[in-house]
Amino acid sequence: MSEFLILPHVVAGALGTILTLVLAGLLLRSAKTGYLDRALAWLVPALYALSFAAGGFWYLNHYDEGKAAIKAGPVPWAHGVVMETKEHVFLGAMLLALLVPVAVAEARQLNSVEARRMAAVVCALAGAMGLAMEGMGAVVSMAIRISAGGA
Amino acid sequence: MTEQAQNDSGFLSPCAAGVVLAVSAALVLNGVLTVVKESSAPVKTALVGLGGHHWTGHALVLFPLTALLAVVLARLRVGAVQNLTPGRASWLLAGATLAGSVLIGGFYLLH
Repeated sequence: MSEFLILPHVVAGALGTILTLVLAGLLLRSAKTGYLDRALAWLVPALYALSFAAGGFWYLNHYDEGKAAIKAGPVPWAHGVVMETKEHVFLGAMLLALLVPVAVAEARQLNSVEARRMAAVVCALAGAMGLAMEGMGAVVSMAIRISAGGA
Repeated sequence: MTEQAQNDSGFLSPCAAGVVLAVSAALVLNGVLTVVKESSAPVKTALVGLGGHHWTGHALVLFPLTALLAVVLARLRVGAVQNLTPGRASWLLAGATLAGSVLIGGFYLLH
């Protein structure tokens, strides 16, 4: 059951990550900040927040069993290094996602290439952290399966 | 100088500059707080007391502090806020993201 509870975390995180990278591309390609850019700029933090809340809920309420299995299994570093890093770096990813609409609004106001590049950098950083979250999440999921003897 | 005049000169608005600086500081602070709480039992206990779990307490310190810092910085009439260009902001955010992430990842890798 807990596998299903983690789905909103993974899906919203993956979608948010893809959209940050799409938005970065749009900002670098176009000369003006359009309606789509502004819509995506608000959608990104919403998806990151959903992923953050769902992941946080799962971590606080359902991870203990997996954590014990990982720590007792052949890959304890999957918790000690990967999960610990993931849970704390995610806070930074959330901060960057919240900065996306501010950066895009500023790019629109300044209407310069440099400002659009800054907004693209913010998106790229949030996206890179999102990709790292997905990768680390995959390692933790795999570690739980290996430790439970399911892989 | 009005906000519009500042924008014409290529600097970020005070509001955006305040948020960028606050998020940059928070990205590094996130790493520092992680290292401090993992190295100090009283700090970790205090965060547990604040949020019921150290991670929740960590978030309850980090996010409101970032918001407060953004409001304070946006109102400061200092060069770091008023003369922040988008180019400098990009480097600052990239550096802070890298520093915070390396601090966290490096700490857990070594411990």
